[in-house]
Amino acid sequence: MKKLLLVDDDRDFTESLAELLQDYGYRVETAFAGEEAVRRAGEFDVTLMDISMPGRDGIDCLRAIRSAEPAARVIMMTGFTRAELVEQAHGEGAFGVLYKPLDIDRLLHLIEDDKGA
Amino acid sequence: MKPRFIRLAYAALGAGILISAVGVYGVVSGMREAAYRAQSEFRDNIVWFAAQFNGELAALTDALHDHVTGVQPDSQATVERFDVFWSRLDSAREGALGRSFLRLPGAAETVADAAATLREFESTVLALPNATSDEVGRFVGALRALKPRLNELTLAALASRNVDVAAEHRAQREGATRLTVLLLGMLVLGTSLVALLLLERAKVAALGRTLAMRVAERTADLAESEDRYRTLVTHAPEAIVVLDAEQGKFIEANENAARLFGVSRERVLECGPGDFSPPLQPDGRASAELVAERVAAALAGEVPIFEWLHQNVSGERIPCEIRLVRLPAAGRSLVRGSITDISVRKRHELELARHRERLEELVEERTRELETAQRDLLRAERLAAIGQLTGTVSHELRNPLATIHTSSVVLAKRLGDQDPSVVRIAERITRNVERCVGIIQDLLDYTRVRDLELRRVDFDAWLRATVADIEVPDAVTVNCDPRSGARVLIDPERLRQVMVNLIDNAALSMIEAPGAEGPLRIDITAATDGERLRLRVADSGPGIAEERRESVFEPLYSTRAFGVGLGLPLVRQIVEQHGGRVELEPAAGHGAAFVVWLALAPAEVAPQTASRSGGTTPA
Repeated sequence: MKKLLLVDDDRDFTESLAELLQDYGYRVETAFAGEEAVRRAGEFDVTLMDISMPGRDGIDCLRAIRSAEPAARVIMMTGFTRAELVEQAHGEGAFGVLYKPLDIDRLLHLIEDDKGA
Repeated sequence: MKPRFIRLAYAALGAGILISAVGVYGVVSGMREAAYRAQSEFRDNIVWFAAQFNGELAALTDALHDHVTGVQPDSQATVERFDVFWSRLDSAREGALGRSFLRLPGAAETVADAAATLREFESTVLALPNATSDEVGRFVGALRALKPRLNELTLAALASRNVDVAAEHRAQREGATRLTVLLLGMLVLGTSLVALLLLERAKVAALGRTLAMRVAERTADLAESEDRYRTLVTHAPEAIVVLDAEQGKFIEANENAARLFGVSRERVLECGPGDFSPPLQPDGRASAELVAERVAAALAGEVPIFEWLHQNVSGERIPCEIRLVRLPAAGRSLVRGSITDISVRKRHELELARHRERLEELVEERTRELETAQRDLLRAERLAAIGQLTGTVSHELRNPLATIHTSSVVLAKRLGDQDPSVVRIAERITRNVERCVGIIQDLLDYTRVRDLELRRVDFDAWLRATVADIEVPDAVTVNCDPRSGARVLIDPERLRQVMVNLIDNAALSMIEAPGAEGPLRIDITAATDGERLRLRVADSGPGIAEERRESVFEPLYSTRAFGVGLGLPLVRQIVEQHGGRVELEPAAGHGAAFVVWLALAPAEVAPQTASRSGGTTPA
């Protein structure tokens, strides 16, 4: 059973997604700021993180997590549909990038897919 | 001549006349006095003297007569000689004693002359046969003594008669004085008259000279003025003619007039205005009639200025401007015409008009362009505003939508087993979340114009596949039958959006129409039309109201209950980006039909991935 960390400043979304993933049988913990995610990412199999957050943003945190743990699997989420953000996230080693609202099937596939996307 | 001299001259004349009158009076009265004295005193003296003198002579001549006749009484010749002698004596006597004593010496001379006659006679007497020399000698001696004797007698007579010779002399002197006065008066009178005459003549001469001078001056002035006038007329920049209105002929014309009409000046003077005008003027009126009208106006004191079409001798028509003015001329009706050739001006006016028209066209064209540009700008501005808004709103909406979506999925998963309707409800939520996301995506697509990724495709095949993938409500039937056989250069993904929007639009308009029933159809066809491809999407719905047709392609214009009105604007944007055009077919019965025109792919052109500078990957 994989252990997931959800990071998003939108608490409603974080909670609903946590419930959904728990229903699918994952152990899910949540964080509402990038700092916390960077601190705790090492404890989890997969980190799901929003790109746009107040304070330290997703891309910055992704970079920090990846530099601390190069093998860390981080899936980025964004409400923006700007191509450059997607490219940037991929450039920083994101395992995948998903637009909100999330394509649940694709999310599950990414969590389970060991080859990444 | 000064009036002062004239007054002096007249005064002299008056004085002369006065003096003359006095003189004449004196002379006349003196003569009367002399006559009186001659009649009385002098006559007595003379009578007395004549008696003395006659007696003396008579005695002498009788004695001689006796002597001669005594010697030769029958001699006829002797008698005749004596007769001559007597008559001479008589005449001497009458001549000597005719007037006064003052003539006595003269009378004595006459007697002496008579004595000389007797002396001639002396030889005759001596020749007489019987005459004695003594007697003759005596006779002759007496005759010789006659003169001194006469003098003696005279003196004696004067002494005895106490004749006042001095008085007679005085009288004579007075007479002479009076005569002198008279003559002087006459002289003064004459001189005065002559002076006056001379004065008058001088005056007249002076007047004449002044007059001549004035005449000369005026003549010179006139000549100069005429010269000036001629110079003005001859060298005037315009053609100038003078028309005798009664004769209908020109009586003056300058060189310019001759040049304008294309004939000599002399020829111009044989003609009238009608000879150098076409029969009709541009306004269709007869030239002759118009000439009469304008000339009459000028003669009435107006100064008509008007345009006129002249015709020169070679038939060339010359647009002119004419200015008429009446010329002062006693007993004649003269009108001066000043004619300016305005063909150049006319040509310029025409050119100007043409330029103006062209300018107006240009202005209209530019205005249209400007209006289009303004519309585009307005659209761009609106787009920019929407884009800015969309950027932030999109993110803000996607988060709650994502929450709704995941929550509905959680709901369906947890409750679906107990109540199957929950799954349907959750699906409905998800579908509408997707619809919201679609709207957001439309907004993003519309406001963020991206470069095309062009590919050469078989249009008919592409269209069939694309349309088949587009979901439509069950009530709607899509009939796609493209027969263009064309290959086109398109961005398949973007053009798919066009199809999605056109089909969605058609389907929704039919479904949402009040009282929609019967088969709801969407007919999609494609065909080539010359160099272009014609794609038509028609529905069987209620069609688009006339007042909406103009605005269907405007962004944010939607009559639908649900929708932001970006579907058709996005269609237009994408089609125009492809260099094509989209239009709404004119309404014909039921339904609406959109036509998309696209360019056919050039046969030799290889497929391209981007139309413009380095395309970016779509989000």
